Amino acid sequence: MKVDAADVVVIGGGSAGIAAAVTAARSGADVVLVERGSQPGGNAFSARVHTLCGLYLLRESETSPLEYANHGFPKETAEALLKSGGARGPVRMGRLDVLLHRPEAFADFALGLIEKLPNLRLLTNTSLRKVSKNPSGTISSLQLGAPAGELTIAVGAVVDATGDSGVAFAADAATEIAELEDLQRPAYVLCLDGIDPGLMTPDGRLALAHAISSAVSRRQLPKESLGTSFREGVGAAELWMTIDLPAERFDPRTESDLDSLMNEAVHLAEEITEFLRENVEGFRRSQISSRPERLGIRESRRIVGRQRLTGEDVLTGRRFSEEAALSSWPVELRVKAGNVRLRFPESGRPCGIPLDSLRSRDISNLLAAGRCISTTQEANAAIRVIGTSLATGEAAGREAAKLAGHLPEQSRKDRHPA
Amino acid sequence: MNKLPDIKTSSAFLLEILSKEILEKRPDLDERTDLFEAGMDSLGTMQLLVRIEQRFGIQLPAAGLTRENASTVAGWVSLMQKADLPKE
Repeated sequence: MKVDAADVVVIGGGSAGIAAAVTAARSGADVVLVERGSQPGGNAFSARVHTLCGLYLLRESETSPLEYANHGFPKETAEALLKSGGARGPVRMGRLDVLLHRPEAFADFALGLIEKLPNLRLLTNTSLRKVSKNPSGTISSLQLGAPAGELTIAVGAVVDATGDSGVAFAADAATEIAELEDLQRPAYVLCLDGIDPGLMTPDGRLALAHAISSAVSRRQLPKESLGTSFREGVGAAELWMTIDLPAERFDPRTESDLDSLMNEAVHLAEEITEFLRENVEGFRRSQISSRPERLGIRESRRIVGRQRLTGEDVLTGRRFSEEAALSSWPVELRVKAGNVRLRFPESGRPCGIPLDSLRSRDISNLLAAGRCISTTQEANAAIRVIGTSLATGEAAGREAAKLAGHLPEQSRKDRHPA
Repeated sequence: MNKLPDIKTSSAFLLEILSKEILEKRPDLDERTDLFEAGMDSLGTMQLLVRIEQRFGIQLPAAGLTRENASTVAGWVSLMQKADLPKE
């Protein structure tokens, strides 16, 4: 078996994992980023989630100035995507500002950053097999299953960006998950191209909603079709469909559940697009131009951290002495069919995400990033979005590099003023 | 015989469904609240169309369902006054 070493290993190549790996590598650490699929990108690429949420602070009105919630990696990502034409906006959705992006552009951006860092190695089609610990309880090495065989990496610090606390669980650190029937619903996202631009207006999207709901009452479409929402995309003739899936008995940690729900989703999406092509003027020449390789998972298992962020913290805009990032997205619990409950903080101010909610309660060199940081279910419904995951990933990467003995640029300057 | 629900009934029904089932509960939701600002989207719109049909047996005209009409309960009530009665 091959044995290797790294300062920091990041497991999970989604938005949080990419941010963590790039940030740790920029701090000077020797980093390995492990992705189970063939390409990094996570929900923002593999699940085709084309909306970057949580990037901006809440605004009182459309005319108030736009401000990033987190200036580091999230802003860098947004600006790079906008510059390359891979993003448009932000567009206003109700009270929220959302950046639309092309998932393929997000993946390219991530790969571009990774390639620029010689001290960051990306391992694709690779998954975590086993975690070994020191007598003191910290993680000593990770055993990985890679296409070329098994690989063991001795580590300084680990970032769990798996989305379901896969590292924490394998290391016997405390984790938690809501009752399966209470989990937020997963989504299937796809893009249709060749649509009449007349449908790409707010009124056009309402007409689609009307067409689908009428078809459901005439039993031309299954009632699960009512989980569909329509959004605009970066291109003028693109229409994105997000189908919130009925998943009462679904376990996002189980491969067979993921596969069977994915199959159902593919069929449902085909039925809906076929119906639209046959029955809605402006859709006849439409084609599916982008479809996901994975379901968009909103919620799964979380770590138990040194501190657990709560829904009340989010709604009251609570701040902490040591913060990883700011969270500006409302509590968006998508649990039951057809409900779009958004709960905004009363003050409109963001809340802090304490660094202690990224730190495992049980293992001192293990940090979480993205949707599996330590929160209640309500707080998870706010911090799970991609914009915020980029920010918690960045913080986890910085902290992991520090744990492995690499201080970030800023603190080095602080300690040795010119 | 079927007939269209009156304005008061329609309004009370919409406010109840919106605040109990579709949008987050909020005490200040009234006929003039901007529903899209409150989180309404195409998914919530479909849900509301289905609930109206289930409760009153009426289908709202597709042509009237505009962003302007759909953004307040008052707009939805006026649409309901123009609904198609079910064929018997």
